[in-house]
Amino acid sequence: MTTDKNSSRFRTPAGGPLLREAPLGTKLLLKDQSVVEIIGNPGDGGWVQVRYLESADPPPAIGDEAWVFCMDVKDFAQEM
Amino acid sequence: MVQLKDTSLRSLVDIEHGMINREVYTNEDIYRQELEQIFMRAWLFVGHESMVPNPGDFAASRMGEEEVLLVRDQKGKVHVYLNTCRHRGMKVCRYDQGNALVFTCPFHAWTYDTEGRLVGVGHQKEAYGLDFDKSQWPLHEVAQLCNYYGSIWATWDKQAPPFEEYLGPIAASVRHCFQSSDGEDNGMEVFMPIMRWRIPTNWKFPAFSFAGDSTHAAMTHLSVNAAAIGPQGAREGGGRGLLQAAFPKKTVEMVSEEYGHGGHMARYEQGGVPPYRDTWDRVPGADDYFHAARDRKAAKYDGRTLPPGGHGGGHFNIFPNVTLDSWRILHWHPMGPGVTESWRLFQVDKNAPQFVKDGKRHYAMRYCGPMGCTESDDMENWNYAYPASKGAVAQTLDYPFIQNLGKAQPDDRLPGFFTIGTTMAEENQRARLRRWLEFMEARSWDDIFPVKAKSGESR
Repeated sequence: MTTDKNSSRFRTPAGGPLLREAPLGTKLLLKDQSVVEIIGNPGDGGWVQVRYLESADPPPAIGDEAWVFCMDVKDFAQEM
Repeated sequence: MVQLKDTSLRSLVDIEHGMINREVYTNEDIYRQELEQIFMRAWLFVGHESMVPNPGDFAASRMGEEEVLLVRDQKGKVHVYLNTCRHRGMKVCRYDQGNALVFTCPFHAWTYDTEGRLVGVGHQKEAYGLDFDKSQWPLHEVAQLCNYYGSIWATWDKQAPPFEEYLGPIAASVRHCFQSSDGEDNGMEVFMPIMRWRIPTNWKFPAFSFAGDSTHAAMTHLSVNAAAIGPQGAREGGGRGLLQAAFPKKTVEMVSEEYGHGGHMARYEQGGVPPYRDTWDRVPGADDYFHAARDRKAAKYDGRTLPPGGHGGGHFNIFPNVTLDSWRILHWHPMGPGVTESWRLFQVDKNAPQFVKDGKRHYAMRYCGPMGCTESDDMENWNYAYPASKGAVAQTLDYPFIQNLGKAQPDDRLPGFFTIGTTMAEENQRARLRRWLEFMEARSWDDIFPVKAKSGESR
């Protein structure tokens, strides 16, 4: 069964990822094709603190921690 | 030819004769000068560490007009930051208190961690490039911060002397105010949320007169003096203060002249801790708690003489804008020549049982703040005195600060203090105005510190 993108509380009405509600551990696909895991979420909707699981070129390297802006997130990398 | 009047500060402030022109309290230019010469330079009270007990906790405060954030970072260190984004100045935090992982500016999404570092810039790659050096744009942090037995103080001036030197001889009194009833250092916490409200008066009316103006009380507080708001109720005349046991001490005008600090404080004439006297008739069990705390304090002090101020020994001002006691902190923030933001923090023994804390809080609310029976009396005076002093005619007149002028003497029992054997005096206010003038004229801390010792002279 798949989640209806239009009814998930983790998505905007337009179907995009709603970072404000995303719990720790959620995996994200970034626009540069990196995959990251949320390790801190201030709940402001703009930023999440992440650890890199798969890194695009150029670095950050796998395991690096960084803050990611909502506009740099393509989608969840898992079903939400 | 029209003779222009002399408008130099020295022409408005005559400490020697106790005459202060009303413009000192009402003039817009003087007010702007105060913000730069005093509030950007002096050590200022910011809050108490109990306001931010956990990593990520923050509380809004003020330094002068400007809002600052008292923050405990994720590693446990306390910081004070100006609440403004380094990009376009938007407040990075619009809450009075809370817990945060980061402070994100809602304008352009610059985001700062609790150590003040800029950790994220919205659209960084496109707008600034990946090599943009975020380390150059942290939140603006105070130049110096001091955690003084739990109380947090800060200054914007890196040349300011260390905080304890800024306090001078009154340092022991400040420390005493943050001891719990049993004499334990840093034994207090403050009730949250704190009280904040604005009053239409110049900040110096309360900040320079509080703890230094005894002759107002009989008339100003005529009603509340009869209202039995004290914890003892109507017993023994129903005073607004707490009952105290007899002990050899005298409450006097006490001033550390050169520093501008001082108040109406007890000069203890015997070592040890005064006996405790039952006073909390309305809070069953509270007297038992305070009896036991007093005995523990007596054991700790072991016959040493108590510092003046706090715990029944009176209250006092630290220049420029805070009044301290061991149960209340009165904080007067300038918000314009005719607006003062008044803050109240109330301390209580951090280890007291909850019913004692509640009793103290209820008493503080009856006494202090915008609805407090005693302080609402004071506000009425300050709020009407300000507009009544602003007119063109009114401003030709001086305020006389001449009560017991020239009577203050160095006190051998209290090194560094001058005293007058009564509280019916205005030496405290003269000392603050003298220090005010020194700050206003100083080019840097070199001009005002070390203080010019006055011991041996009468004032």
